[in-house]
Amino acid sequence: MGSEVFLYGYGLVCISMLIYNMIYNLYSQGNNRRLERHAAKLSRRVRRQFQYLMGNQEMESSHLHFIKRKLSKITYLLAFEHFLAEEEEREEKKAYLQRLRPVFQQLAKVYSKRENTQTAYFCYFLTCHGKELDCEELRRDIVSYMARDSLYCRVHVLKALCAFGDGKNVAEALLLMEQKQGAELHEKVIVEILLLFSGDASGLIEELWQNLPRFSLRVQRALLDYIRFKSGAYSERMYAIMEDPQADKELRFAAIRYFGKYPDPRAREALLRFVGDLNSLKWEYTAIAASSLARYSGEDVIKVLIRAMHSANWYVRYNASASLEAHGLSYEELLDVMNGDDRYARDMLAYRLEIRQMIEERRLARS
Amino acid sequence: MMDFIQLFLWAVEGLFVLYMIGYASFLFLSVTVGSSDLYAAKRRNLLKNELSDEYYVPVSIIVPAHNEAVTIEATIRSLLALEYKLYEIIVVDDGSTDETVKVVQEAFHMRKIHRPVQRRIHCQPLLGVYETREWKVPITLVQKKNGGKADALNMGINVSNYPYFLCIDADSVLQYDSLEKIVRPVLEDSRVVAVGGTVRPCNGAQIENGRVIRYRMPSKLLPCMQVLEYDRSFLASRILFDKFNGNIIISGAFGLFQKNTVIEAGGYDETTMGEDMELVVKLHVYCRENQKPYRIRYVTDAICWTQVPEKLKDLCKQRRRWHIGLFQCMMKYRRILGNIKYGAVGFISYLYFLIYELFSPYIELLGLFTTLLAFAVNLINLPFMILFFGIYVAYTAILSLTAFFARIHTIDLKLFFTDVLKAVGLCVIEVSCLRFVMAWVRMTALLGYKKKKNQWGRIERQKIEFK
Repeated sequence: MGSEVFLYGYGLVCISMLIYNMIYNLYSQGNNRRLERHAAKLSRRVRRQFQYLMGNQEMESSHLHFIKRKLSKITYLLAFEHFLAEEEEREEKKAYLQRLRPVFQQLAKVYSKRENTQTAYFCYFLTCHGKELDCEELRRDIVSYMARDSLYCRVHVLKALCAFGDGKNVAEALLLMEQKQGAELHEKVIVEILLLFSGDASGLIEELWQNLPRFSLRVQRALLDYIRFKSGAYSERMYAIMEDPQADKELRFAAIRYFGKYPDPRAREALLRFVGDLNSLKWEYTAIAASSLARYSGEDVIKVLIRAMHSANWYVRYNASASLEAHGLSYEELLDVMNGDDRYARDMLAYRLEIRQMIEERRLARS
Repeated sequence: MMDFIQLFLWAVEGLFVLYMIGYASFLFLSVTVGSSDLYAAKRRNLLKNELSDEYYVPVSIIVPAHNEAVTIEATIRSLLALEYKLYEIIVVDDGSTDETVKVVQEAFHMRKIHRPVQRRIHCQPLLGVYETREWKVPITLVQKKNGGKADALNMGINVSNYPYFLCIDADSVLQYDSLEKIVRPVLEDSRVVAVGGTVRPCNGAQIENGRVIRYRMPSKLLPCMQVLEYDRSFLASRILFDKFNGNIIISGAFGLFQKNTVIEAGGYDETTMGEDMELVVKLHVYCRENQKPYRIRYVTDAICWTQVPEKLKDLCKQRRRWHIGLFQCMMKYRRILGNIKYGAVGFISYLYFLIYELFSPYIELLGLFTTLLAFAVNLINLPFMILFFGIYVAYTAILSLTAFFARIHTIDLKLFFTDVLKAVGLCVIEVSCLRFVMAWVRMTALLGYKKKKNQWGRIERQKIEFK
């Protein structure tokens, strides 16, 4: 009897799932049509408001109530997004969205109570069309979403805030994320989103510098990478990190990479020192600094890189050879290494020169 | 004597009730969880709850090849069509005796180069390296002494430049967005050390520039039944295992790995035929023994299209190889069974694979033997036996169909009426016939395996139509 119960019970659930899947299939086939219907319904009402605005009239008083009621439903928010995406950028659209500010302030509160996926979509909407809806109160509500344990919610919140372009809110949101347990944003994701920041980047960077010690090491590293991608105006502070023996090595590596992108006479000495230090325990400093020296000219640089070619560490040799190749030295100029006894150094350099030749041939063939 | 036989039959009956309840519960759970997970994923996708921007994690794609002259060019061309920016392609020729090297060299204008290789994992000696920079991404062809697929993959890892590597089979084609999709779990969770993608049979699919133009059930019966089998396996059971970080298989045809962790764990084991499963179990063991936080993920929307055997002989060869690989892996890591240190992997995943994959053909043989014995001594109720078998077939067929219908929740697959008819018809044949043939193949797989354990095992390849 016991096994029969299992069998019939499981079979019943499976058949229900099968039927559900079939019904869902039919329903989802109609989904696009439904979305189009919603969009058409909204667009008729919204276009009428556009016309009022074009004729310097005010919108219908009932419209704000109507739109708030509709956009509280996620399917209508989806349809509204589709409609706005297809509508070209014009003054009436901007003016219309500006008049929806109070509606979106209320919607921010509505969506704060919804499940994470819907809240995330609300932020996605703001990222796409939020420029005209932007106001302090809305931003404050959005920042508070960052406390949620949802990766996509956090991603879209950060994106929306970057689209609004207020550096203070972005730093605040990142700090809130750090305080709350939950989904961590990958360093790459943080950097890429910050690069979308539409406001004054130097203001954002200043906020980030001021709060830097309050972030976890992982986020600090991402922020230093962002600064490296964005601006060369922070040599002073980067130099301090690079030369601080108490600083975490990952942060010091980020600073060394910064000076690989933005050559600086003061950093040059430090980079030469790192590459010259063949202490095997510090090979990571040597390898990254060897890579950073690609943009520094001078005989002393070549000399130290050639010396690094004899390092016992594969990565040091690899990076040093890449930097030597970047200096455009000829085979003759590298004769010492190429004819030397160190087979590892010779092989590595020969390989880089072959690659350079291959790339040059490709360029020539294309031109 | 009769008393003894009766006692034996009761014991077998008890064993089978437990066995079937366990199997039915697993299938039931995997299909329901899989289906609802796919539904949730589709909803997340609709509401833009995904990392849709260009977040590029650098990936080295390693293609081990042994006598793959027929398919290798199409495979590389499909890799060049990927919509991803930061990757390299490494083809490792494992001592082919056909024209694999020549085909790659000529098709992609490769040039011999003196490249130093850091040998961080042991592998057979290098015979030559060829490179080209003429294409969208660098392509490297490594020629090495024959050492087996695992050895070729280890060489690929040694040659690779990037922190993540993706291994694919030389007879497979990646969907245009598969690389972007398979790296997402890495961006979502920094503890992820390996990600498995979904493998789908490409027999019956028309693929242009990595995009599926038409996907219908294959015209031949055998590939059709394998489609049902793949749906059950990939769209159901792997999703269930993923829920508790318990996947112990990432198909060798499509898997992404964190290079450093794989090297620390010792790379692929060249002494096993199931190198893909062995590596995943090894990663579980390595991370747990070293208390390293880790996740092994499975993603449903990263798709790799692969050729499934169209001839029964080839299918038997493939399944024999898989079963030997499974046996080797289970034996090697038998210490994890029921060991609390390995958590759910030891208690659920290992136990499942041991009972329902490794031992199942023998258990089924015992069932058959017992039925015959009961029949011989007139202790069987024939109508009831037929009814029981009918219920078994119907139940498994319904589960297969549920998994098949779950494709409506995946983003890119649509349901066609004729395909539904085919699925309904064939799921019964698959459960009642093919399954028993495969049970026989698996049961006999271990006979004389020592002799053949390191052979690649040739399966007749069809040219992939990649436009």
